[in-house]
Amino acid sequence: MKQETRRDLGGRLVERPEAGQRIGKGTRIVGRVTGDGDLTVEGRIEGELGLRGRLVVAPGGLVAAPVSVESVVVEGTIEGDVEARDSVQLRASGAVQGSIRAQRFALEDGARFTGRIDMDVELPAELGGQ
Amino acid sequence: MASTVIGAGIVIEGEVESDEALVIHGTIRGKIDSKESVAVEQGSTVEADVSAREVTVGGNLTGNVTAEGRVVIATGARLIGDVKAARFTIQDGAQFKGHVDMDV
Repeated sequence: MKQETRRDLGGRLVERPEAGQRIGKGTRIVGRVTGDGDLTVEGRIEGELGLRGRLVVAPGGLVAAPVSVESVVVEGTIEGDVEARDSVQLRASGAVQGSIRAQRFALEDGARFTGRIDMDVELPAELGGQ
Repeated sequence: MASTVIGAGIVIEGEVESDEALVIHGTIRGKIDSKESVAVEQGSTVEADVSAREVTVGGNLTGNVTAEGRVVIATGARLIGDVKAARFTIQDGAQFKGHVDMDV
């Protein structure tokens, strides 16, 4: 991950160029988005999204793509399967259509969800567990 | 404060469409279409045709640039491609290779 200090074109010092990155509400990306760092999506991403970091889909934001991240907070909409190495939080304003695979998944009252949920749960012996 | 910031760790392969200011620290391969300004910041890599109201290049841009307003290549930056714009500035120390059409 690049973390060197640099100046932007306005001469302002940018300490961590990967910080504060976001897709604003007037922006639409069609294709593949990958990389490091946290990302806030207020606009649209259609295609594929893979992030070593935390994803926030803000209210009004739409991610129509399979999503692979460290963790994700959904206040907007995800249409696609979500795989999180850590946690998925689906907030009251959020919606997910697709399967969730995560260590932890929190589904808040009011949130809309259609799909399968797969948390690493140890099953009791009568359900085929060890 | 720009509305969309593509951070240094991000790679986009595809098309970016925007009607707000776009600041790029990362990598974009494909196509950029903005109704506002596009800033290709120092350290970034953009391999894309860029169409915007205004384009400022501080990093590496390979592709054709079309702007209704101004195109600026800053000192230390590199643009390889054709430029079609009303106003075009190449700052001292910038690198450019391509055709320029200022519609005169």
